[in-house]
Amino acid sequence: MVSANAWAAAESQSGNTSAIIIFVAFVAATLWISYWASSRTNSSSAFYTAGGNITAGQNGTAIAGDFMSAASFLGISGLIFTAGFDGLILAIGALAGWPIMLFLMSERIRNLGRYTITDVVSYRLQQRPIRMIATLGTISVIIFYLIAQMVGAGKLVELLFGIPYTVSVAMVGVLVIIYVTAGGMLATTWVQIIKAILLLSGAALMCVLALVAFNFNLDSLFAKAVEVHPRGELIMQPGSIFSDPIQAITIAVSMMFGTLGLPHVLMRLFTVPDMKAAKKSVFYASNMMALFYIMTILIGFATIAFISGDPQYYTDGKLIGGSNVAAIHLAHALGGDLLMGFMSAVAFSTILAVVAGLTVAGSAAISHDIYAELLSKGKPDPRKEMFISRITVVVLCSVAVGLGVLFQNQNVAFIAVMPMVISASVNFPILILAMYWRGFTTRGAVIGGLVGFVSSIALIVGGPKVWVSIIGAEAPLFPYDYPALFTMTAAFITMVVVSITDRSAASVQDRALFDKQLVVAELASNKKM
Amino acid sequence: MILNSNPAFRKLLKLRSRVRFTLAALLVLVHAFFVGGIAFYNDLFARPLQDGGTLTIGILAAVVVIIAMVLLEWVYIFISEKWLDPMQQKVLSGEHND
Repeated sequence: MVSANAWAAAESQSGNTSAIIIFVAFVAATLWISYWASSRTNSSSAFYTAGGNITAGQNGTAIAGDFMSAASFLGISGLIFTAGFDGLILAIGALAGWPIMLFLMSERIRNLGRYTITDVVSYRLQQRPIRMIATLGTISVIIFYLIAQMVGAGKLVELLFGIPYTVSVAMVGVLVIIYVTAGGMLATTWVQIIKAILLLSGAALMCVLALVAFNFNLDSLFAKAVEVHPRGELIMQPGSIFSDPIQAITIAVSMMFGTLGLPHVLMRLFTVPDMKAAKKSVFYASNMMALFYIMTILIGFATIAFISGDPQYYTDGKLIGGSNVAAIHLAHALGGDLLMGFMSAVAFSTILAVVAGLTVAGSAAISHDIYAELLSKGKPDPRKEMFISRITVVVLCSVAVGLGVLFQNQNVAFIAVMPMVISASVNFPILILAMYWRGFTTRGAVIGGLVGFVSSIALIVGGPKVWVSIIGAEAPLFPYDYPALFTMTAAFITMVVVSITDRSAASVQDRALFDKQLVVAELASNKKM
Repeated sequence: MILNSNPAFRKLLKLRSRVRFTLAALLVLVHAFFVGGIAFYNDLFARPLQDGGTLTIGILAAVVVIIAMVLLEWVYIFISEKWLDPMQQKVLSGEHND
C-alpha cells in the first residue's frame, strides 16, 4: 500500500479537486433526497417498498444501478486487462440471468410477494420452516455481498483519495445509515437512479474518447491492444485462463443463476404498482445493462491499448493499484485528472448506492420476515416494526463496517464469489420450484436449501481461493473457484427427491394450495378478491 | 377454485407457459453457444473476422449474443402486452361477472 499512497499523494491537485467536488455534490444531493424522502417514509410499506409507487422507468434504472456495481465495472474491465477475451464470460454470464428473470420470475414474484422474496416462497409452504431457510439464504447473501463492497470501498478510496481505509469504510457506513433510516426504499431508489445515470454517462464518455483517439476505427484500437499486451494475439481468443471447459461452464452458471436469487434486486420488484410495471422494469434494466456491459468490454480492451506498457502507470513492473483500477487509469489517460477524478467519484458513489440497496433488503429480512411474520405471526405492532427496521439498518451497517475492517488485509476474492453461489444454490432453486412445481414441498425446500448452502460454503472453502490462497495448501480439495454448477445441481436434486418422497400431512397441504397460488400468480387477483 | 377449470384461464396459462419456456430455452441456447466458444470450440472464436484484421469471431459473437438476449426480451414484452395481458384482463373481468 506504500506505493499506492505515494501515488495518491503524487496525484496533481486538480485531479483530487475535481473528484472531491463531484463526490461532495453527490453526497449533498443524496442527503437532500433522504431528507425529502423522510417525510414520506412513515409506514413499513413505505420503508420497504416506497409504497409501491415507483414507476417502471425509475425502477428499471434503479435495478440496473443495483446490479452495475463498482465490482462489475472495475472487476470485469480489470479481468479483460489481464486476461483479454476470457474476461468476457463474466460480462455475458451476468447478463444472461436477466431474460430468465423477465420471462419466468418477474410477474409471478410481483404477484405473490409483498416486501421480500421470502413472502413469495412462503405463499403456500409452511410459514415457519420455509421462512427460516429463505431468510438464511437472504441474510447470508447480503452479509457476504456487503463485506465485498466494504472492502472494495476501503481499498478504492484509500488508493484514489488517500483517505485511510478505516475512515472510508466508516464513512460509507454512516452515509448509508442516514439514507436508509431517514428515507428507506424511496431514498435508496433515487440514490440508485442518480448513480446509474452517472455511471452510464461516465462509461459512455470514456468509450467515445477512446474511439475518438482511434478515429472510430475499432480494428485499430484492438490492433493496438494486441501490440502492447504481453500475451499478444492471445487476448483476442478464448482459452487463456479458462482452459478447462468445466471451469468456463461453472462460472457461467454461477453468474447467470446467482443473479436470479439476489434479494436486494428481486425486492425492487415490489416497489412498482403492478405486475406489468414489474415486467417492464426488468426489461428497462436489462436494456441499460446490455449497453453498459458492451461499453465495459470496449473499456476493457481500451485499458490494454492505452495503459498496458505505459511506464507512468507502473511501479516495479506492476500496475499501480492492481488490475481493479485499470479503468480508472484509463480515465486518466483519456481525460486527464479531471476525468479520473470524475470516474473515481462515480466508483465511490456506486459503492454507496449498492450498500444502501443491500441494507434495505437486509433490514426487511429481519424486521419483516423474522419479526413481523415469524415472531409476531403476521400481526406486528406497526410502530415496533418500523423501529426494528431502523435499528436493523444501524446494526447491519455497523457489522458490515466491522467486518470490512477485519477483512482489510485478507485476500477477499472468495467473498465476492460467495453471494453469487449461495444465491444460485439456495434462493433461486427454492423460488423457481415454489412458483412452478406443484409437487414441491416444505420439507424438500428446507433440506434441499440446506444442502445448497452447506455445499456452497464447503466447496468455496475447499477451492483455490481459500484452501490454497488463504490456508496455504499446495493443491485445492476442489478445483473450481465458482462451484455453482455442482452446488445448484445438488440442491435441485435433493429438493426434487425429498419432495417426491414426502408423504407428510404438511406436504398434502403444500400441494393442495398450489392451485390457489397459481390463480394469484397469474392473475394478480388477490388485490381484487 | 372455480378459476382452475375456467377454459379462458387454462388457455392463458398454457399460452403463457409456452411463450415463457420457449424464450427461456432459446436464451439458454444463445448463452450456451457463447460459453461453448470458450469451453469447446475456441478455434472458431479465435479466427479473425477478415484476413489480416484483429477483431475475431469471438468478439463479434459476444456482441451478437448480448443483442440476441435483448431481442428475446423485446419479443416477450411484445407478445405479453399485445396478447397475454389483454387475455388476463378478460379472465379477470369474466370472473367478476360470475
